[in-house]
Amino acid sequence: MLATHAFLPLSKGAVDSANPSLGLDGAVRYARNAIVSGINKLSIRPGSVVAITLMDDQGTPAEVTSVRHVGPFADGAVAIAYSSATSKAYLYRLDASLTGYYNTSGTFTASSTAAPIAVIWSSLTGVPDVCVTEGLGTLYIAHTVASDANGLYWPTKTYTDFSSSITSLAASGTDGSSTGSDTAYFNGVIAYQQALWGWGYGAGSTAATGFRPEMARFSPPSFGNLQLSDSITVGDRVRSQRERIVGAGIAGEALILGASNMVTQVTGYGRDSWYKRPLDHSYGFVGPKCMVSAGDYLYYWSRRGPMRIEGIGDPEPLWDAIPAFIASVINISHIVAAFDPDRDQVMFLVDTGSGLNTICAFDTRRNIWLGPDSDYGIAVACANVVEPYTASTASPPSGPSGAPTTASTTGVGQTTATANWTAGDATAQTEISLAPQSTGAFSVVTTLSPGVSSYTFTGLSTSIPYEWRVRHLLNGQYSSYLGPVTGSEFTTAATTLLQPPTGISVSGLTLHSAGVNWTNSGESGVSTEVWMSTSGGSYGLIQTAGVGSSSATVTGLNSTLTYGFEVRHVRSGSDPSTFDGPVTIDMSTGA
Amino acid sequence: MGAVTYFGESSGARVFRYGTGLVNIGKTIGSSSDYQLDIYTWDVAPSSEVGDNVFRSIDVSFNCSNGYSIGITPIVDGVALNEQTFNGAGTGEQQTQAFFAQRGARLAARVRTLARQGDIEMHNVACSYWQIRTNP
Repeated sequence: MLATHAFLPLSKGAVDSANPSLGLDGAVRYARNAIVSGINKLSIRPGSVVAITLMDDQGTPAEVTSVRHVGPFADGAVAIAYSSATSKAYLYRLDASLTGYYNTSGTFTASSTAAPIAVIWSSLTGVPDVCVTEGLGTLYIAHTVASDANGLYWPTKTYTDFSSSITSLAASGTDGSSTGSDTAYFNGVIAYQQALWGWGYGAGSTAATGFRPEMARFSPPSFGNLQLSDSITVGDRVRSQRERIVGAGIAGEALILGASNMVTQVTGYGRDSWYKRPLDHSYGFVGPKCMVSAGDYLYYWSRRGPMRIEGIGDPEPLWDAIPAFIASVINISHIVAAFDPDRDQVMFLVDTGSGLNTICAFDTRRNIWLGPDSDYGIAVACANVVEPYTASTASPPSGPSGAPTTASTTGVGQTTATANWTAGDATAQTEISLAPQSTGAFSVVTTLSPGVSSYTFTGLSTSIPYEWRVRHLLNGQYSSYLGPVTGSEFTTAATTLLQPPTGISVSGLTLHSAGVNWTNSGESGVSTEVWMSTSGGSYGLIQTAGVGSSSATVTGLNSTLTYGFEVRHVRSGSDPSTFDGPVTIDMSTGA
Repeated sequence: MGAVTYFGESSGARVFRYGTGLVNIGKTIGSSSDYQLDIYTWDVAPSSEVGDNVFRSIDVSFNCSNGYSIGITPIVDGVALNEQTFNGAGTGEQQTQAFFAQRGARLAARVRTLARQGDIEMHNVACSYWQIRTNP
């Protein structure tokens, strides 16, 4: 009789030379590029797409060198990247679907490339491994490049206000002091039991100050500098570089601290200290990103291979099922772990040599390994999960319907000029910027109300070529620019100093009046200002003679005082001439 | 929309969204950058480890979203026989049977996809055989 037998269940097996043990008769031995997609179902692993490309902050933005973090923050996402060209690390604020970026004003730009919202470190001497966490709506970032002593930063305000500068937290001193020889570097931060924890090490060169793998903590609401507190350390040995804390993660109710060769469990704060328990004295964490929390477990990669800890339990080996694969992994300090909640899998992205970068996934619901997948092909520096928020069903607000058009510049003087344009959307505001020609150094002059289609610049410098540009702003979205074009370029007038009048004299004296006379310079259209000083005091304008006039009568004088007079030409659009005079007259003597 | 997993490139500026599309953007395998499913099973020994059977077929059921191209390799007593390939268009549940005749004690199967225009969801892998002698 023909009999049948099923190679099942598909979801029962282990993969990659797993120990068959008992009860695996016919089960899956090896499932490359597979994910468990349901009860007894295996599907092909899906692919990937490029979501966004991060750029630097240069005038002509270039792609950064390395993406160091991408992950959730508030209702969106943040990313951190390093550029070897600028030696800077940048912070990006992105939407949850990574379809664009926000600037410091909170304005969103939909784009396949992202501009940074802030520079978080400058003058870096190496690629930073960053650790990012969120506590009470605030973003905390630490990194591992020791050349920057200010290793821990955070925006001083909540996520809604990225316009503030990023401020250093605990610039130095694991003991809480701001100065001293025990400057500390913070490699990571994590929020646990309403406290922010930072881990780092002393930077001194002596046994007393260097290589101190101390944990520090502080609690809200003060959110002050990290304090050494009660000296939570890994295991019971300190001041040893080998026990420097590598990473930390949450497993249910417990905080798990991993050093290179130790794992310590922190379970809560007692009367005056944190409860801790050494879990492993031989194998710790292999790298700062080798661990990930999934449910009540913390999964991590030790030097023996993958392990996991459930809550307050002990470490549980997962490596015994995939010994052949573990033997192929190199550069274990670069391992990145991530949890994909949609597929219930913890993914370890590992380097298997020869340019292959491989995903090996553990299905947390069914407790089986899948893969190793043939290769991912790209070295991954970070991985994380972002939960897109539910968008309103209403249509998103629209931006300007068009850009401004038809630029012209009128009324160009020595210090003023008027920009004119035709509005592309009369309901939108207009932002106008000005720069010296060919410098590209535009600065926003003002943002005008809807419907305004001209603006007069003031306070310009003489004889300088300028150019302006305008764009509309509506609902937080910008139109493209109008300008700089020929019509938006202009050069302010040069300074024109008028020739002064000459031959000032006084005549026609009476008891209380005098006549002031001068000879006009010949400048066309000039008026003449008459300035007077009383008894040696300062001169002040007393009257202006009309165009062509060469004399003025000053009245109301005191017959016992001495007066001084001087005159100058003035004309609109030109600089006044120098003064002619002074000439003085003593009213008591007539001389 | 559920959670989305992102990877950050170590030697570049790109951020990848994982779990969408068909291709592996980082690596071309042969002439294709598609991910291909590749499953090996552990052996079955229906007449015990020293029994005797004539194995007749490997039977595979699966669901495809846009056609399929799969290969089935019977492995009898640890020796792989010729791979048999099956192609088809359409969507929905599909069944294929790779017939062969080979005497042996143990049977395993390798099932893999050879080309990919859509998704494949593997549902069942089974075998048929004539039992010759059982021991014990």
